[in-house]
Amino acid sequence: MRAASPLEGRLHPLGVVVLAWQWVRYALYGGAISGLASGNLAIVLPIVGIGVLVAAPLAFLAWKRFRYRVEGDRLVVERGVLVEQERIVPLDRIRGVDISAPLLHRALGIVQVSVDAAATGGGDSELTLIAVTREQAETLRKQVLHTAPGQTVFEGQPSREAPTIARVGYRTLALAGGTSTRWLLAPLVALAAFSNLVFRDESTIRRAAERGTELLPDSGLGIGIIILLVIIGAVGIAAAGSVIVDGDFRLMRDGDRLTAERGLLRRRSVSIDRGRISALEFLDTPLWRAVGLVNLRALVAGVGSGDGEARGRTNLLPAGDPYTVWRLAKSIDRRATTELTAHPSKARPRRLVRALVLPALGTLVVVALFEWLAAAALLLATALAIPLAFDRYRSLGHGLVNGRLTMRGGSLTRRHTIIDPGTVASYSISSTPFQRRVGLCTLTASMGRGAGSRSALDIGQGQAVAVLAAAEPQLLADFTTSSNRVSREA
Amino acid sequence: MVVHDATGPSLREPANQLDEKVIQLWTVQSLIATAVPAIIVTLIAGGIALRSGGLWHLLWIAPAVLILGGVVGAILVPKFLYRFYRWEVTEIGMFVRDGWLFRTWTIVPHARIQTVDTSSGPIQRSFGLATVEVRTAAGEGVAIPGLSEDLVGQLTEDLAAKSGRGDGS
Repeated sequence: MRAASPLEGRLHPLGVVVLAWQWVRYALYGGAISGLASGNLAIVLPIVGIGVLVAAPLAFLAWKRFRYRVEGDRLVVERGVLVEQERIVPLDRIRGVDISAPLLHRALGIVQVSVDAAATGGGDSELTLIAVTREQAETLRKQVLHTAPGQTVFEGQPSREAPTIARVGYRTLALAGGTSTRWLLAPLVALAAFSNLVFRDESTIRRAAERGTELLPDSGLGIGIIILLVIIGAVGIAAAGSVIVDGDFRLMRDGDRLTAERGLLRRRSVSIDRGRISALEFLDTPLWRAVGLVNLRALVAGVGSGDGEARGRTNLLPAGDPYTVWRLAKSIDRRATTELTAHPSKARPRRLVRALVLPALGTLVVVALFEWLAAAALLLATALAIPLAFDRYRSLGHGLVNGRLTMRGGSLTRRHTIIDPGTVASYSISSTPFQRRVGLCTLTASMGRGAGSRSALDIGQGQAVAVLAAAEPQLLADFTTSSNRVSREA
Repeated sequence: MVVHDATGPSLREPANQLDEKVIQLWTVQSLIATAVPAIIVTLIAGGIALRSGGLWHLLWIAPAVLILGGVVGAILVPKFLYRFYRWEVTEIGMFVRDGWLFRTWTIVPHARIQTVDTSSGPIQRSFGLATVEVRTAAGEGVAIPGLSEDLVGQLTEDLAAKSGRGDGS
């Protein structure tokens, strides 16, 4: 380990100015607005004056209370004006140290340091030394970054041609696109754009549209044909979209690095370190299940604030038949398994109630308003909700086999997630009074930033604890009681 | 209070309760939280009632209900929350159970802890209490809201020392 050289510091005295400016700025905005509104610009001065009077002591206090030190293998920051706060960050958790100099800092000759500790949540999660000298910043960075792990998500081309381990053919992509609901929006957008052109009175288009309408038969059959054509068009556009976006998809493996390349027109490529994959996830919809397609994704704990795909979900295979996809998953994570244990049957009525309450209530309201057409539609929705509820129950499952935690749930979007417990940051078991009544609960595993969290809904309480105990074997002894039950508190 | 069913093992209760003073702290905090809307509603309702008279005097019910509910809630709810909040730090992780109707057991293995925060506001300090919050890479923090100040130093020291262990990704 590194030598524990003491490093202590506080903010640069000019930090008072920076801190005060943060608050005075608002006074300035407020003053400017009221000055402009009242037409009397002289009002700006007293408002800013009051701002300075209030901000200066606060800034001084904030500056005085702010201290940081590297103590052994951790960074400790003390701060706070009213609320006193002390934050301890183990050095090996720090992902990056960002030194920046915004305009005011540059004018004052100081810098600002942001420490990215990969802990997120809430606005105050960011750790910033708002004003230090450049030397201080560099010293801190050197000391802190000693143990920071390297980059894990790369964008751009892979270093050399790596062997391809999976590809997706155009036929599969077209089928996947045509049966995906995601693309149904595209024809709607096209229609909206078209009608916009017509109504903007572009004469050529308008004439074409009018002639088009004249050609159409004015009967039920005609309307049927139009609807059919629109549907065929939508499916066609969807299939084409999928082919263009994901065309010539290849997944390549270079040692522990997986690179996914896709796109017919604009080629995109994302690489991930296999060790960074928190979970593999199979995704499908009822339509995809019917045609035998499934999508494979990796949930990756992202680093820093990369954007889009690189941050969290990475497509490992846009679509493929379950067997191929399953084999691919197995080749990425040898311990992956699809074994699932069903959830207690008491979860079934809960799915039914959940699915039916809203449409049923809606139907009642609409009937009370004598809106028969709407009532019929809602009744249909209610009827459709029943098989959906059963399917939602059927898809529920969990398991802990081969040291992998699996969870499945959902129907319209069914997710089957295979989680590496080693990447789970925290577990929680929660239960509502309704769940407790029937001995159920929800087990949630939160993975690193970007990878998100996944829940096993309505898992049996005993099942949840058993899974937890198997995932983190030591927890069993530590947190559970199987024989002698802890007595209730008085 | 123990999660169990006939077949499986059950989660036991975390060993420790919060400092008892946290009940008073929460009472004071929720009284303050009630006071602001109560004053606003009283002013509005009172203003209308006094100006318009007659049946408008019924408007006084609104602030009365708000204040009564706020006070009763401020006295009763903290007692419930206190009873149902338990925590423990073991060799393996931090273990917290909270909630009364909606109950949650949270387990954070030490190896996954990213930061340990201690904070205390002015009201908290006047009760000699502080909050210790642990954050993980997943962003979900676990906070122990009412700990006596002497316990806090020891606990953060303990947590920080343990959080260094294991692989932390």
